[in-house]
Formats: sequence, C-alpha cells, structure tokens
Amino acid sequence: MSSASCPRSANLMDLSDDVIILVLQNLSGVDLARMSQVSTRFQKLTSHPSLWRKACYRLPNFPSTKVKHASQSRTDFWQICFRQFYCRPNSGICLGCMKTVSTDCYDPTVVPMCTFVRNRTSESTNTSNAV
Amino acid sequence: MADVPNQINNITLKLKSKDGEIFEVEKPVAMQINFVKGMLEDVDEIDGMEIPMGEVEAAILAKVVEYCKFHYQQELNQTNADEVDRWERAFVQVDKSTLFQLILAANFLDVQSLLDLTCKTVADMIKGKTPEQIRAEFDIDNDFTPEQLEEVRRDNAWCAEDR
Repeated sequence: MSSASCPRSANLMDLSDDVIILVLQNLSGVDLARMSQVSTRFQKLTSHPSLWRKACYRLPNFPSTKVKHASQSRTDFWQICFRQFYCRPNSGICLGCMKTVSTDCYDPTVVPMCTFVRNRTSESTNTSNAV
Repeated sequence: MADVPNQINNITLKLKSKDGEIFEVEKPVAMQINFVKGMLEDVDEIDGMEIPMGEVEAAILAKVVEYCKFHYQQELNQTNADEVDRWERAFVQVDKSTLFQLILAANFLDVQSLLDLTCKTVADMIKGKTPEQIRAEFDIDNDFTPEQLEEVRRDNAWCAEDR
C-alpha cells in the first residue's frame, strides 16, 4: 500500500492513548465491547467511562434527562448501564444497585433513576422491540 | 486581530516539512494550524521565516495544507454542508498508513477538525467488525493469555449474538 510518497508507515497502534480515545468515542457500545476483546491495550482503553456514557446517550430510548446517581462514581457505571439498556430494552435498571429493575430498588432520595425505570416500564407497553 | 491591516492576510508563510520541503501557504490558511498560530505569537517579523513542522513529512503536510485550504475557502464561500461532506469523504480516501500519519500530524499540529474527521474515519473502519477482523485490519497482536481471552469473551458475551 505504501508508496514512495509516504516513506513512513503508521497504524492504529502508533497512536497515543488520548488519540485512540478520540477514535473510540465514535463507536457504539457493541463495537466498544468487540474492541475490548482485541488486545490488552484496547481492553484498558475501552473501559474509559466517557466512552460508555456517550454510547448510552446515543441509544434511541435512553432517557434524555441527565442521569444523576450515587452509583455514577463506579467506573463501570455507564458500561453496565449500556449493557442493561441494550440487552433488555424493555426493562429498567436501578442505577442505585445496578440491578435490572425491581421496585425494591426505589429510593426517592437518590435522584431520578427510578423515575426512569418507571418511564421505561410504561414505554415498554407501547414498544415491541423485546429481545 | 481587528487592528491588523488587511494586506497582512496576503502574506504567505513558509511551512517546512521534516524532509525539507517548503510549502508556501497564505497566512489565513496556515493560521488554521494551531501549531503555526502559536509559533507566530512569539515572533515579530515573519517575513521570509521558515516554520519547521516537526516530524510531519512533505506528503502528509501537503494533505494538511490541502485540508486547510478547503476549509478556509469553504468558510469564505459558505459551501453547503452536503458538498463539504462529499469533499471530506473523498479527502480521507487514502491508504491506511497515510490516514494514520494524517492523524498523527493533525494531533501534533493541532488541527482539531482534521483530527475529528480522521478519527471518525478510523472508527468507521472498526464498526461492525469482530475482534478477529479488527486485529487483521489494523495488524494488532492478540496479547491476551488464553485465560484472559476466555474471561474477556465471557464478559462481552452479551454483544456476541446478532440482534
């Protein structure tokens, strides 16, 4: 492929971590999950919480309200969030305990999550994208 | 820059690639390269000055300049978004090595929109591929131990099935 006009050759692994993150932030959660299985370096880089946060907000049914919750301090918060929404689009997830929806998780003191559990369960009666 | 006389925009700057090639570029075009902009802040007299562009080689610098020229013109002419999109798509139709060298150059020279465009292009090459296909595409070694690989596969089993 390389010609005389480009004497140096470069590939994905030549990029710095910061730049690879810029590439990865264009990927969906599914592509991120595949990328994490490529090598140990990508496994590390794909765990960056901002990537999963972006992926969550690109999901069509992700609540547009700002998700604010106690568990956000967990580094894998957004990753778990994506997985739950992707695998079980018709159920909610309690962002307090990170478990699939259960009304037991409802804790009105820890912000909006459980409102979106409710929103989603009410939405699911109208939508038919069950897995 | 409001107090600077108009003709200063007609000045051309000399950008020098790593391999010694000089690119004469109109100042407003070159000023889209933040690296150049930063350099000029510390200099009073730019006439005839050659600005070294670090590790960026001529073939790549030519592409960076081409990109900056287009974007400068596009802003002047208010080119419509579809046309810009078409142009950019054609611009990144290059071999893989050139694409990655462009990313390295855009990052070093600090041309944010070019960095965004090239990173997005690489992301498009990743999309929809399996881990195996991604390794092949970008020549990446699988450095997981069999145990690690087993674990990372298990962790990501949720995305393996087709949906």
